[in-house]
Amino acid sequence: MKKIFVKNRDLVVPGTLLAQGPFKNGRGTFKEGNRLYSSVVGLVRVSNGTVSVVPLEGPYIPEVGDTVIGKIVDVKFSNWIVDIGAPYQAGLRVQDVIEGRVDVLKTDLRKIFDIGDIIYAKVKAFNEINQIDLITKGMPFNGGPLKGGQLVEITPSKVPRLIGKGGSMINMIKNLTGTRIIVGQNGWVWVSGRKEELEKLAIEAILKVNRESHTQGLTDRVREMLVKRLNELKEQGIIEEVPQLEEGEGQ
Amino acid sequence: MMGKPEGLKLIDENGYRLDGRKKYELRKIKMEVGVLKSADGSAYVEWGKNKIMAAVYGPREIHPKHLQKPDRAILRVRYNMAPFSVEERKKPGPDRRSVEISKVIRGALEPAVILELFPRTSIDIFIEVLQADAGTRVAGITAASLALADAGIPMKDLVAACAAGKIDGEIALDLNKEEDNYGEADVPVAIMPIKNDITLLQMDGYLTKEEFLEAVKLAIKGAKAVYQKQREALREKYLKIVEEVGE
Repeated sequence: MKKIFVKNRDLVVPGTLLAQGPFKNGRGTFKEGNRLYSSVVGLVRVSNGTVSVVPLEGPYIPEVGDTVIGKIVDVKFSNWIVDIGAPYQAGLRVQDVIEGRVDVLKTDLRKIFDIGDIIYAKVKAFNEINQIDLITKGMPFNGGPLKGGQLVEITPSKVPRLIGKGGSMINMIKNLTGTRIIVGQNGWVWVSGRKEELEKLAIEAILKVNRESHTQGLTDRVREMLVKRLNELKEQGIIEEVPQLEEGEGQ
Repeated sequence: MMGKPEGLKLIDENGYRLDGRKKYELRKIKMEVGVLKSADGSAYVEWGKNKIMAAVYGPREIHPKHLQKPDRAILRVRYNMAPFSVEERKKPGPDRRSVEISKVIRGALEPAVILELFPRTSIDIFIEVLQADAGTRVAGITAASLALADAGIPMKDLVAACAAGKIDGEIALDLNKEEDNYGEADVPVAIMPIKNDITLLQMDGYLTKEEFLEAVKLAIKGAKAVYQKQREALREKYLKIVEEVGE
């Protein structure tokens, strides 16, 4: 007997009966006998025999290969402790930062990354005892530190929505506001613009995506909001021109 | 039980209680999710005259390290009553009663949370009673369970709670302050509705075995009604946004 009680993109809460029978339980679900229940608040996703729930809230669970944004919280003898918004703090060792051999006695690690610095790193390992190892070697601009700009936090599960299909959403926000944006898979987003107003506007757009991620037609609404605000800024004389999007961009 | 005013009738001859409710009627319940910005999850519950706020933080690493459990997360609950929550000012800080209630609430919520997913961390729950009118522990459990779901912490089910009691010799649902003070017994119950698991069961006062069973059954019924409201409140947070954008 194979039965499914929900549709794709249905909003469910913990303890909702999703399906009965030989289904595979994906993320955000659990099995009780041959019944499948939701364990989080989220949107249902059904794809060939697997039922999962994409959470609308929740902590960041690292996966090897994720690119994340982190904040240095401590500098040790030969490593750094990094906060990446996960339930566990991550470690970054000096050999994962600098090419070649390093004499830790002669190098001042604080000159590389100091407490409070924002870095762009990759998850190198995440093991059974929940140790998270990061690596910045080989990352763009060697992982940072990212100077200036602002950090925004969104729910990690909404990162794909912020990026959009083929980067459509994030590129639209970048181009319209003229800001540099780096999105970490942990839901931390670094925004830096030439003008404070444009930076603020980009952040507003990012938070709008975060808040309305479960609705349809979001890209259009974000574009509408951005163009309206940009026109206001133009009237105030803060910017000279409202940037035009190229054909097919942000669709 | 004690010092009941002469001639006070908790149920009148038409079967109505002091606040105009029938015997098996719940007080008015209002729930809202995601009310605090800086907490990972939060909920606000108004249950009759009870006003309760719950906040959840975590899962996060805990220090000192000896508190960590290598195979699962620990749940820490703090139930606290504001000094202005009752008629006579309550001395601030934890006391015998609130420490005990914190402990039983932790026991009521623990079976629902899938703690094995986050070893060596803690999930902290803060329940603040802003206004009290009997039944704060069941309202607190209801709010805390909503806040946990709002924090995105995986759960096997929501925990819903409700109390039943005995007033003027009859079993009634969801006692308010006068009924609790001058009634004969109070039975708070918390359940996980999908499997009908009872996660909290207490009794204060005197009941016969038959009365006790009736009260428990009634409280479970009440909790199931609360459960439906919890589910609505959780969905409402997101449906409200959908409505706002006019889909």
